[in-house]
Amino acid sequence: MNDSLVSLEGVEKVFKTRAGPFTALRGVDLQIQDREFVAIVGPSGSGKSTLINMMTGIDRPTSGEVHVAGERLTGLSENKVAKWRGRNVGVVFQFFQLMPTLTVLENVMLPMQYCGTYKGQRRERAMEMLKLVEVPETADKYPSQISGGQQQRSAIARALINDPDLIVGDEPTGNLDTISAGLVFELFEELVRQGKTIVMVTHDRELAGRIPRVEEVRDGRLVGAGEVDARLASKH
Amino acid sequence: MFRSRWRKILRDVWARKSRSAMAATAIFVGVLGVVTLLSAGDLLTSQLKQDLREEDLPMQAVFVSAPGGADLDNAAYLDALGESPGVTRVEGRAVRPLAWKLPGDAEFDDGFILAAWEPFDEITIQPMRLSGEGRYPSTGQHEIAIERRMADKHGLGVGDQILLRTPGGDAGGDAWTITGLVFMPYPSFSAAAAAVPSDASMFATFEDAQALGGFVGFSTLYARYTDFPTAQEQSDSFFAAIAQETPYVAVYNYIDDPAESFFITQTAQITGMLSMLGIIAMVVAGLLVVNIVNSIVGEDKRQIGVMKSLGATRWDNFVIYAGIAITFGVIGTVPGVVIGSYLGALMAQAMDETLLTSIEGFSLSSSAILTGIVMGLAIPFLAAIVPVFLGTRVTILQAMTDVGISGDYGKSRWARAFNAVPLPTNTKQAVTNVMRKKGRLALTWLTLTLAAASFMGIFGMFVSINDKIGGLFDAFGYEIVVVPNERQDFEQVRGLILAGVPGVEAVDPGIGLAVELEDYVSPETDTSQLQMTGFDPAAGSMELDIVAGTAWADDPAREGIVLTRGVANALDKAPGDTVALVAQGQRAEIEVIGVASFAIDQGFMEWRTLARLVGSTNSQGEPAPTSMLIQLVNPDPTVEEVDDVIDELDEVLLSDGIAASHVNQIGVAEEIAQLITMFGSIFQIAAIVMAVIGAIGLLSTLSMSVFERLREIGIMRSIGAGSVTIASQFLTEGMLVGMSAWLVAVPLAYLIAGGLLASMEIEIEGVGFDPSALWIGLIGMIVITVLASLGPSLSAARKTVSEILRYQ
Amino acid sequence: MPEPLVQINDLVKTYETPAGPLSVLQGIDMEIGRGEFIALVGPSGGGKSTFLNMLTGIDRPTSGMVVVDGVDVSTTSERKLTRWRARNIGIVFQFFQLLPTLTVLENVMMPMDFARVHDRQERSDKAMTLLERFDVADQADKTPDLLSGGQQQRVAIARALANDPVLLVGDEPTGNLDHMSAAVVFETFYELRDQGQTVVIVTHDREVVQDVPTVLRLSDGLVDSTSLEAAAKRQTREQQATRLADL
Repeated sequence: MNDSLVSLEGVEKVFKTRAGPFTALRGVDLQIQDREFVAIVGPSGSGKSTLINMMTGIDRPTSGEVHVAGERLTGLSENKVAKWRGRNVGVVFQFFQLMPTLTVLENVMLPMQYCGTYKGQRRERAMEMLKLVEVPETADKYPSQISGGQQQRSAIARALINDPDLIVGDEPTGNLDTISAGLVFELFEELVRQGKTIVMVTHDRELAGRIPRVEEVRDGRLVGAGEVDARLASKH
Repeated sequence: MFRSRWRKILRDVWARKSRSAMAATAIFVGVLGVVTLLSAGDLLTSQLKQDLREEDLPMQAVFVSAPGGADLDNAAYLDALGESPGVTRVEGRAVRPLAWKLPGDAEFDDGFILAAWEPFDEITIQPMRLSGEGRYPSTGQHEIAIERRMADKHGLGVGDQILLRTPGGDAGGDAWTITGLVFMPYPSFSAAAAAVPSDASMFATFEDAQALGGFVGFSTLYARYTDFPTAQEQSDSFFAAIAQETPYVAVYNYIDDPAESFFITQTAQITGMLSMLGIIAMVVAGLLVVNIVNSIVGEDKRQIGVMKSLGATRWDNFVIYAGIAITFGVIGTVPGVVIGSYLGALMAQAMDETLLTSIEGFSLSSSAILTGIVMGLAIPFLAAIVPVFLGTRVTILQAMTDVGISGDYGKSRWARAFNAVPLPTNTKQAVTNVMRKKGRLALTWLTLTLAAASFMGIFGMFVSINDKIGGLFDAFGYEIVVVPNERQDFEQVRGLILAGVPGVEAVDPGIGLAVELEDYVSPETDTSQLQMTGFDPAAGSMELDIVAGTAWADDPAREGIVLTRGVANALDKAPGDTVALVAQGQRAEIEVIGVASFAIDQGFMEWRTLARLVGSTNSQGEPAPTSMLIQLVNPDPTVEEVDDVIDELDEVLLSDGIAASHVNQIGVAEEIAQLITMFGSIFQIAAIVMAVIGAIGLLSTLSMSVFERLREIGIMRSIGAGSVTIASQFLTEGMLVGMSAWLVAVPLAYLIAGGLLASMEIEIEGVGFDPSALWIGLIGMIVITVLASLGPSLSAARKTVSEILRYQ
Repeated sequence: MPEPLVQINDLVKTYETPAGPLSVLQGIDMEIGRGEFIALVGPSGGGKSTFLNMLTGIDRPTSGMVVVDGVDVSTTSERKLTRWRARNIGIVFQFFQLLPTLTVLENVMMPMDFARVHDRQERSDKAMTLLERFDVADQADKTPDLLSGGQQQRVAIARALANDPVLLVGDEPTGNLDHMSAAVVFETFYELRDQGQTVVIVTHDREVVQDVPTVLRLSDGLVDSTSLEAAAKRQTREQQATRLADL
């Protein structure tokens, strides 16, 4: 056990499909430290999403070890993982994933209610978080009443609400127009400056070029960082 | 194209095995219910219509009590009665108990001897028919005929001998020879007002019967008129004529239109109600199918869009999904019809005796089968029309870009108002989810409400009936009623019984018969006759619940009448008023000395007063009771113990040449209780079936809810919700549906109970709705909703985020 | 020059959203010739899928005209369009969209069933031929869930061609496939183009489109003018090459 924030060792994932076993990840070793901003890139079907699902505990490896924020995820039950996740990881999806029948403020408060944190201060804390992501005016609106960019920022506020060290995003800007995508990216950069760790899957090469560390996944394997840097060097 | 559609239909049905099974099972249960109940009803009514020929039925029947003594000029009486206005034919019958046994048996069995005044081939009212070879018996030859069902039961045939116990005869019985087997489809009643079982019926000439039964006079007089309206007009004259022209005392009198014979209408009514239950079960099954088809069409949204993009028209899609519904129907209907026909025949055979007919062998009711098939196919088709029509409306674009039911929630005033209510988030979400799918939910909710209301209504009603009937039997202080065939010397018989029969505490006099009560219309018979009970208030034979007036509290010999509450209310009489009774053609005014709470409309009097009123006298002209009420020493005897005493009693009386009918009060009470329970159970089962179907509907609705909200469950899981949180949300949804259904069902239950009582024409005083049913209904609803919600809740909780995301 | 297969004039599509009107397509003018193989690339939300839906008539423009093989797709009634689409357009979706309860062969036969062309035996034969062409004939009697992603997509292509459509359209056809399967599927598209089939696909997979003859970039609702010019130049060059070869 080392002291990396995220540690994947020898992680393998084989899916059993009716057409036969499908290997999504082969022997992945990955270490991520505090305050890193990491992009995970690769072609479709390469295993990017599966990889970050390992980090969040949303999926489990067929073999190998996963340690995140000091916890050995592979040893926890589904229920415990969910609860652990609520307190330690902020997850941001491509399609926002806000609960449609709750207001934005209620959405942001959910993780606190599920994990029993910040009792008595939940409303204020949620409002502060919405201010942080610069969408306080959406607090009493329903998700269907605000724009895509506002929804995504509310989702980020929700992801941050329990003050997790790690934030994981699966194509978080994938469904936004250029301007909104830019704003969200700046927010991420600011969060890293404030001490968070952000791991982001993206297929947008330009965006990846702006992120300090890029890991490429191809056919279930992590490609050597050197190759990647060389290819992207021209962009800077 | 035809083949392609059928391929998809059949494959889709097979692919969704559990849902197809649920829908098909619901249809199966519905069709089974319809076919079984309709078959039984059809078979029973057909048999009755076949056996009871309209031209052979009497229009008026009067049960009479004969005076003692041998000088009865029956022929003259019949002639005189034949002169009554409107009467076209009068016939006399005697139906008396007769103990018999097979040679070699140790004990005698209870049987009945039936005889007509008219020679066998001259009987026109309720005649019997010879069955097979053989002939009618002749007088003085120790010849007898038996009902063919009695022959079947005991393996008897023409030429065999049986032993008969005659009053004053050999204790071992006399041998009589069977000369013929007889088919007697018409029901007969003994003096104790019990139906005579056909498998214990024996027939002889009137003269022989008099010796066998120990009687001289008739027990029943039948009359036919020119037409039934005439009968209705003149029945009271006939009734009066009996009193005036003959020494007989009328005990019970009813008129019945042969075109709509009471037995047939009663059977039709009962089976009609049972059939209604079957049809209601069928409709409820249809509601479940609507739910299921709706869920299938919802899930298949993408596929429908794809097919449209490949060129499928709306009609193509409609045919496919409606076809799935019809397939459910076929799968459920075929076994439903087959098993239902079989069960229906069994049910008819089981109920035939209760309804006073006899079904032999196995037959099919084509109308029931046809109805079952039509309903089994039509209901799922009709159920599918709306959901399929709506579901196939989706455009290709909508189908492809459907991202779940996020929709645009939040704009309505309701949403904003609800948002202000301070409920925990989980509960709020449950309520919102319940309200979001109002259409689909409405059906499930409706089913549950109907089921709960039916169950509680029926239960509450039957508990109340049971209660009242139970209370009724509390009023009787005696366990045995003995009705001698001819009026006897009360004191003499009393002495005989007390001396010779062990276990007897007291023998008290009693009179049971009917008189005409002016201005009164009996709800049962539509005549103005009132049942009268005469007893000795000084003895312990009756314990009436007097609610007004003092009755016999101060003076047990007081003259006057105690009316039951129902009669008093109908006539608007109170203690102190007078009523006019007509008996023996004489009108007498009697003071009302009390009002009693009693389930069946009656009048009570001190027996001597009543005896004088109706002319029930012995040879010395002194008042004589028509029956003896016997109390046993054992305060709480079983039916068998009472039967044992009756056997001893019979022996004692027969040895002394006295023949009598007897009633085991405890037995009667139990039989009635069992009958009520039997009918109550049938209705309860129907209600439970509806409840089960409602629960399945709830289960299916919640499962669909889980399926549609997989994405939301995934989100909840990804931001930290534990299994308990997720499961409890769905559990809350289920409970909301169930509890609100129960609330609405409560007032409905009262309505249903009232409706049932009115339609069954139950004239039991004080019967209503027992509130205990509401609590039982509540408990049942809680259990059902918890069970129905548990499955989907647990399944929702078990879903992992990765499964959900992969699926999406 | 022969008549273009597809003619698009001033195509505009605007959606009403709670945050205000959103212009997804902002006035596109272009032509697609017969036998062309065009790939539309661009960022998400740039309007690629919407554009494709305009071509197939699945969606309608706010204004402007789309004419495919002489038929004004933008104004034809839904019922007529359904019939026309069945015989003239083949669609390949990102998530295969094969009907799960039918076999592969039955799936390919389905468009012929709906269009009511050929009799039963002919349909079956034709479907088998198509499956053979895409190298999935041995899967004919299996249900789709038994096939790999790549195989399923090839079956979907076979199905799309069942009624010999003039235009084959694909919305992210390799979006859900791994590297190798994606390459095989694109091979198939190249073969089809060689056989004269007009193919228009939308994709955001940059690697795979490198060899596609015409790549148009669609971003912020408009087709990038430089790429249009490049496409036009290439077209003219190819036609010149063909004429030269004929000489």
